[in-house]
Amino acid sequence: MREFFSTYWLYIKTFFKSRAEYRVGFFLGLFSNFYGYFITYATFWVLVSSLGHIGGWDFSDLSILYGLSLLTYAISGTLIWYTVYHLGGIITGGGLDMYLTRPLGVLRQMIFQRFGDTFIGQIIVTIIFLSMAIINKIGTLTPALFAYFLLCIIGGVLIQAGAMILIGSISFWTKRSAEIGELFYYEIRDLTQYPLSIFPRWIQLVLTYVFPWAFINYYPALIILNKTQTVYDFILGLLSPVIGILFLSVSLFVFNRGLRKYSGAGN
Amino acid sequence: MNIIEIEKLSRNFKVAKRDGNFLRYMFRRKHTTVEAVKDISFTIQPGELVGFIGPNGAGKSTTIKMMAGILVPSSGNIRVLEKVPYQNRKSNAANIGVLFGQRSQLWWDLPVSDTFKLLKKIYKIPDNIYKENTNTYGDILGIGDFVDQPVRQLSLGQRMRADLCASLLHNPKILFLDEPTIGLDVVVKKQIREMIRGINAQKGVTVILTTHDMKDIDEICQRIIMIDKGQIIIDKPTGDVKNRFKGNSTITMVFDKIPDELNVPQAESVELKDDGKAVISFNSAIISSAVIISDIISKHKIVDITIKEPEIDDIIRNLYNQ
Amino acid sequence: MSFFIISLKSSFIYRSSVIFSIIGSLFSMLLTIALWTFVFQHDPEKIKYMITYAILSSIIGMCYSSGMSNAIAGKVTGGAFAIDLIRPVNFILMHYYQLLGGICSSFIMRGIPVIAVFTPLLIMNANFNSPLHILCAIIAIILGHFMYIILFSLIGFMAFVFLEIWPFNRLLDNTIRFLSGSFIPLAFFPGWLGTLANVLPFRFMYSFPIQLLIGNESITSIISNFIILIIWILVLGLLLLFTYKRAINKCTVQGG
Repeated sequence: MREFFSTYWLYIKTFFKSRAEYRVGFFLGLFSNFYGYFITYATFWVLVSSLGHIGGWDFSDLSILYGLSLLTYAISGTLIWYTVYHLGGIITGGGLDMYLTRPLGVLRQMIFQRFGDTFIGQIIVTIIFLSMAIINKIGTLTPALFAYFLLCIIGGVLIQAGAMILIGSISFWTKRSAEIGELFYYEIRDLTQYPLSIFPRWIQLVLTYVFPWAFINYYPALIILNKTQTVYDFILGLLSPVIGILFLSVSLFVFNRGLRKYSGAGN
Repeated sequence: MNIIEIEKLSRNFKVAKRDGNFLRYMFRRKHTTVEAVKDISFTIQPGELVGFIGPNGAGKSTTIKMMAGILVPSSGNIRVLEKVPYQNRKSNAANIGVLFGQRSQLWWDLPVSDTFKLLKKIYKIPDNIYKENTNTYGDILGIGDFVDQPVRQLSLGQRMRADLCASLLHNPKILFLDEPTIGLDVVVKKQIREMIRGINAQKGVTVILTTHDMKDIDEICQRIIMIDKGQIIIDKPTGDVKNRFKGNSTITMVFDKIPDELNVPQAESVELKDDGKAVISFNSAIISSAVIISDIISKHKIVDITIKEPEIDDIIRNLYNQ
Repeated sequence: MSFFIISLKSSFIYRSSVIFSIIGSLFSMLLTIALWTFVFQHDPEKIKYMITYAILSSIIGMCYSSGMSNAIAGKVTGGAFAIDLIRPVNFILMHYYQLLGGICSSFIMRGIPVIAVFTPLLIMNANFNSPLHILCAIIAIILGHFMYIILFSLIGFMAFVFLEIWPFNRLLDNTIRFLSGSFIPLAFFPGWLGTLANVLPFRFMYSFPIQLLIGNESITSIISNFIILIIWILVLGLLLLFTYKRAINKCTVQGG
């Protein structure tokens, strides 16, 4: 474990060293990401400005809701978006064979192949809005709430990472992974930008029991903002970090299955 | 000890059959089985320099992948360094080095030296060995000039040398080279071949090479294994192969007046064509083109002469026919 | 016969990515509709208006494309810009026609199915203005289309200065999405933001045409808006021309 982190740290240092040559491009890309998601927040702000609230959620509430989703997505993205999500390309390019000839796990190697530096823009913008919203709405966090908040972020990162790994793994079986991913991950997950209570009940069920995206931000937000309506919601909220572990395990299982298929084990 | 032992190794692939029936293709495909590697056996001793040749799709890379632990055989036994490679992927990986000619293992946007540092961590190379190897191989391969440049700025030759160095840093016992000289200019090709020989001589690294360039085989390998349609056609020392299967050169001569009969002793075949041409096929190890030509010119009037050296396809076809 | 089947097969395989993108569009539309349905649940008329708004916005969006930016930038960074200048065809026009072809084929393959799906909804909810209004709207959309082209062409030429221009594409695209009223009607925008949106030309791409189709605009305001729109296009067009000439200059002086 320590080896892994020290290798990753070395990689990040060298990556940024080389990025320094393209300083202008780097900051430009970062800013454009920052701006893009800033606009998303601005959109929420305009809505709330003119409507007063959405389903009882004001701008700070929405900031926290969306913030949880975006932050966990961006953190996940820095680690694995450029590589694992694009596994299809790596396979056709022969990269997977290269990874298999090295004495280290394939996923780990993909993590230190390409750092998702462009996601830093998202991280910055969301931390700003999240902090503002938390200070505004909740004041100071109690240790318990703070711990829960951190756990949910970790859990959320695990779910997002799990999703990216799952979608990448599709490439082991078919070339259509990009489109399937876009649809079931990005499009459906977008529903969670808004509090799920405003949608018909069945949507909430799908996003809980079929695609666990609601556990990334909705249920945790319910607890953090004290908006839980039922005991049921409360339990789901508490479970959120656990769901992260479970979902990631499933993704890893599928990934390893795919790897075995690639090597022809059991063929 | 055999460093590599392969016994009755087979590898099959299921390929979806492209059926005429469109609906069936979408929903329930029939599969045919392609036998990429069929019951092959051979052993390799430590320190050998072995070359694998054969047409594309013959099964060469499938065999290499099984030795490297990437692919699992469908049947048969394979042992590399006395262990089963696909069951011990990581420990096998620590002992082998791989160079893919068409794909670099260096990080594209980082300087070469940084790739080396990362590989040092991945392969857990001790400091002293790392230092020794970066210096030694760095010198032999002449990469000191560009070792701090990002890989994307390097020429193909420079990148190949850096890749070769990278594959040796962890002192692998076996080096797999997949088309190591592809796309390189003549000078660099010669350099790389010398370096590979040198590394084998100095460190006793077993070298396994796949290539389409016969000169690679010529200058590096002591032993040739030829694979075609999944089976081993030839497994002999290079010297034997060169001498006996060199392939035929052809001379095409246009006669002013085609003779009824043309006798060329020691030629493989003589073909007289209707358009006044004679095609003479011969083995240049047995008789030279100069002798044949001077002999015929002394007896007939010749309008035009074309000489064709044996091509690799001819050699391979010849080898196959034997 | 076999040719027909072969091409059908290959179009089917090609189609799967198109199918997915169609489903994607439908999906995000449904999300928007679900949102407005909830938000205005006490005002059925408003819901109808918003649903119409969303569908129209989506259809209008298919007429716009940011492709000029990458097309031009690609040529500039690839060095082919100089080569293209030798051709007797105008550089910008050449790329525009290519892009137009792309927009049309995309419209046919993706747009028509999407429109087909939403037509019933549209018929149920929409309250269109007179045919004259509709004609004006179409003209506005065409002009908006050109504005899109001009703006992104300008970004394309920035490739002379910046190696990668994708950040600028995103910046402009996001700004347009927001300030043109493509998602949230500009009427929702509070004070200063609303003023900003009115001053900028982006509203002519979405808000203005949609207002023409289903909103209440007086004749005078329509005319004055068209005048402003035309002025914007002239200004931007001149800017583009100027940039183009400078680019040629830079190229011929420095030799590509």
